[in-house]
Amino acid sequence: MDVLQDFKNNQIVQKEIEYINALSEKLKKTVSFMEVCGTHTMQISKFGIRKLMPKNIKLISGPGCPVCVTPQEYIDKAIYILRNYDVIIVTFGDLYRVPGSESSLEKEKANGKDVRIVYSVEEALSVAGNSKKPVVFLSIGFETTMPAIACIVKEAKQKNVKNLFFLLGNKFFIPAMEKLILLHKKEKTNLDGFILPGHLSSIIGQKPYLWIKQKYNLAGVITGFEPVDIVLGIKILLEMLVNNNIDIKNEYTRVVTFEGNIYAQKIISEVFKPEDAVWRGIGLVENSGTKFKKEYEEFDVEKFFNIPKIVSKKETSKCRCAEVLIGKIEPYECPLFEKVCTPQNPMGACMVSSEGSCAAYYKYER
Amino acid sequence: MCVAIPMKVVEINGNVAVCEYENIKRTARIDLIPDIQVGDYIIIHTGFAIQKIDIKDAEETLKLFKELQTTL
Repeated sequence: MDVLQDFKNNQIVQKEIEYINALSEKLKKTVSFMEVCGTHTMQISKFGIRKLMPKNIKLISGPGCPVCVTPQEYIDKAIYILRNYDVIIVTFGDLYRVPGSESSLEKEKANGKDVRIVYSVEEALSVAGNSKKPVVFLSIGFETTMPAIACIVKEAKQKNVKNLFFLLGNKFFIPAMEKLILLHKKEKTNLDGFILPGHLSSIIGQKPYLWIKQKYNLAGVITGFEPVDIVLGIKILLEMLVNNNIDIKNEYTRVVTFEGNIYAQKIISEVFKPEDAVWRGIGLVENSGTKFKKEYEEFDVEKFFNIPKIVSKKETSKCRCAEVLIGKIEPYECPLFEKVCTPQNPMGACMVSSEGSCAAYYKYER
Repeated sequence: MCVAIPMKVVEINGNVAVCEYENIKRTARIDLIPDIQVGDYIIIHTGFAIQKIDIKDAEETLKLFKELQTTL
């Protein structure tokens, strides 16, 4: 395990930063690298990596947190189910405090509704096993989380569980990346390369990112989460730009392969099929959402309960989560940041989620 | 949400592995990695092992890096 500890080594990071500083002098303009994974967002803030960068390298955050990109309608739908049916809602902790139009799961629980926080989707299966009530799992997460959920759906089918349902909010990441690039092109913002997700990529592999270079001539590097990984990732991006050798590279080879976890990919495709979905900040993205395949439709809560189409109230007008999410502004540029919007009293999803950009800046970069 | 922890597999019972990291033990489902073995290092996310860690590869990455440092 010592070798894994070396990826936290401060001396290696310092050497790396010196090299990045020297190399950055060869840049002809200021460059922006975007990370698109919530855990990277948190680690970059936590280790102070942004502040260690030379002035001509900007690190910006993209839509990497599944909680942050979940639209308000999803929370409102969960609250509608809680208020109109006698159910148990099971959720990952990050969603618990996200504000819907007029309430949150936390507030509903305070009013006596049955909302339970779990670490693993597997616990939803045990909750269902110990109750006669319908149990609704709030199913969010990208490809990192999807195979675990698919596994439990298959297990529930095999065990003939009749009281476990899923409110599907899972999203495929790649289609949203293209929409994000197009948004940046439209806004003419500076974007030169991506720090690509480590664990999501352990599932999907390096292959599905190649179009980023081929179609848009942007650089990318799949990166791990320790400080050495992150600065090494930045160095690789920088070298590609300085040498004018744009490519999609993989720094996290100890975990991510070119093809990814084929077994996990197979389970995802056995249970889910893509459909269009709305991302907070990005809007409608074709084929980025999930639907159950016919064989598993019995687990879709929207097929079991009669849930009307929910039109959510417009989000707090001054909240600029949507712009923070695509890296158009930094959290402190939002007028609510730190003043009325804090982790204790969050106004938007980027402050609620422990991996949201606003939460990261609030905790580590004020 | 995509936080994942590296742990070492110390025992396998069916589709569940007992894993260890710095004397902390916990279990993880191993359905997503069919060829897992005791002694492997794995990445765990929401209670499921999602990928093995290639320790030799980790050593190579660091070795290459250290060699690079000396040439700078």
